[in-house]
Amino acid sequence: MIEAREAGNPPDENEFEVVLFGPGYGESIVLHIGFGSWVIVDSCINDAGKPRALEYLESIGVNPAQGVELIVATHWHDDHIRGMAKLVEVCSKANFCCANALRTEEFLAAIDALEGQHLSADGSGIREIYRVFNGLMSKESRPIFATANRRIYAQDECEVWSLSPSDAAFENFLKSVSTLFPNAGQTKGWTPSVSPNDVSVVLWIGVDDIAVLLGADMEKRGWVEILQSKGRPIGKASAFKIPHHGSEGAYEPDVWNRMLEPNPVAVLVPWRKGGGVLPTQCAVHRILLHTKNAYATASVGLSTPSQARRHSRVDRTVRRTGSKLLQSAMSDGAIRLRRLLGRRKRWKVEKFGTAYHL
Amino acid sequence: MLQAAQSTATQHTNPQEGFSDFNEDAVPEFPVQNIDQAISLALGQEEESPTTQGRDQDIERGTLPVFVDPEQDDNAISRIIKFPQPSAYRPKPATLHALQEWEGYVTEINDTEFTARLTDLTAGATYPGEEAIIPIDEISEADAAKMQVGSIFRWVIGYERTAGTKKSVSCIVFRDLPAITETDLRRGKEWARRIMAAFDQ
Repeated sequence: MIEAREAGNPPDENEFEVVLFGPGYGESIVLHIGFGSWVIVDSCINDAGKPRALEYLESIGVNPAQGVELIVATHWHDDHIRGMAKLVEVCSKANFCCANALRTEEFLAAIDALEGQHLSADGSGIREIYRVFNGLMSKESRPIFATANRRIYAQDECEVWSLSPSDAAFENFLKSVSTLFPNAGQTKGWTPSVSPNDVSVVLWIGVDDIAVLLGADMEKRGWVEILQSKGRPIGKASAFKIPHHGSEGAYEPDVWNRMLEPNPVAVLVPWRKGGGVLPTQCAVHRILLHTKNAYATASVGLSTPSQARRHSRVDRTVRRTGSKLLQSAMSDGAIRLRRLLGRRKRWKVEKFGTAYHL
Repeated sequence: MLQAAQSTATQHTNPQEGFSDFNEDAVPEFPVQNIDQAISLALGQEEESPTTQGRDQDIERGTLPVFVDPEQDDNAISRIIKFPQPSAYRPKPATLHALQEWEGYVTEINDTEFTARLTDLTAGATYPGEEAIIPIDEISEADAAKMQVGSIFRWVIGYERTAGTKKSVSCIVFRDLPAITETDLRRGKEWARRIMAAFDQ
């Protein structure tokens, strides 16, 4: 979290900025690509349900309706997409981009059948996509569909490229989408995420002499395809959003060797679900073999008991049942990188909340 | 006609009202010599009593009250004998005071426990901020049998007051969600076609 008093001034016109928010569950990235133009990648929300990206932009005096030019949903897992419909609504000037895999009739029909009725207080990532698409349809706005090596935005010295999903990943998704489609008689409920990490959108953002690589939740097989591709932009990035919370399955050493400058600034958002925690200590050691400039938005640790304050009888009763109540969200942090365009200087790194240097 | 039916339904669903309708003064007087005779009459054994001879004619003339079969009319005996007010014996119903309510959805299940994400309804949250690991023993066998990843439930913790006692309760109730229908599927396909048409323009 970046408190309004900490956020300070907006970046200079010729300053590239990358802010990674990780409020414990979910992640979102806000980028200033120069001259008052902004890009938002994925969405997460604060305790009041407001998208972090909007909260931040307003805190530094930026009008999201005017300044945001592009919104990208890398995939539809609920830790990457909460509040996305609100972003699309508020950032009225922005184009919306998502993976081309979403543009399949079977998938869209499944979304409506599963999420068209609000059955619970909470919704899955699929429900958020449902709201986004309804919002886009009502304002007659067409999304940009990302594929491997597609330039999805270009303005002056800035280019945004999607490096995935590859054709092969898209075909695999088409084969598996039938398993997602519900059958008549099947009970409705909260919709578990399917596993679309291979069809998530990896982004390459270049402004002037600076490039950043945003890894989404891409896993090893997808990285191998990106590395083999001849159509991607050439060059090496100096900042890297580590994919999939630093998981083992998303680690591909050649990404560090061939797509990134030596000792890049690397940032990640930890993740926790049930007893599972990412990144593992082993993964942290592996990251540190590639860079000494690695940061996380929150400390990586085991699950912590719920901090919610409530009647002591409730806590006693929970214990008596043998249940455990855990914080779903880890502590709240953000990392901000700023660098002036056209000058061969280093990134300036600021840590907010619980963010720390790995 | 509808009004009458509703009124009857109300009487059946509210036993308190039935008792308050009872009026001692409305008990009909009829010639019984002793309590044994009264009970015999009430139990439908009056045919054998000499006092009942010619009753049909008397009833037709309106000189005797109409007797009904006690098996058909629960109040028959109470018309004859004054029982103590039964409400005095009725235990107070238990009342549940909820201190905490969550809505949850199941994310993982193993042999002994399940994991769920919880939205704190008491705090007015709209997104899950907590996660719970709950023993499967805490839910009914029927719920355990049909629980799957994605199942939605309500968890209420509070206390129950019964006859002067107060005890903590934890109650997990799974929602019996509707099934997907052919109409849902058809509507889904129509929505998908509309979206595709809008995006392909």
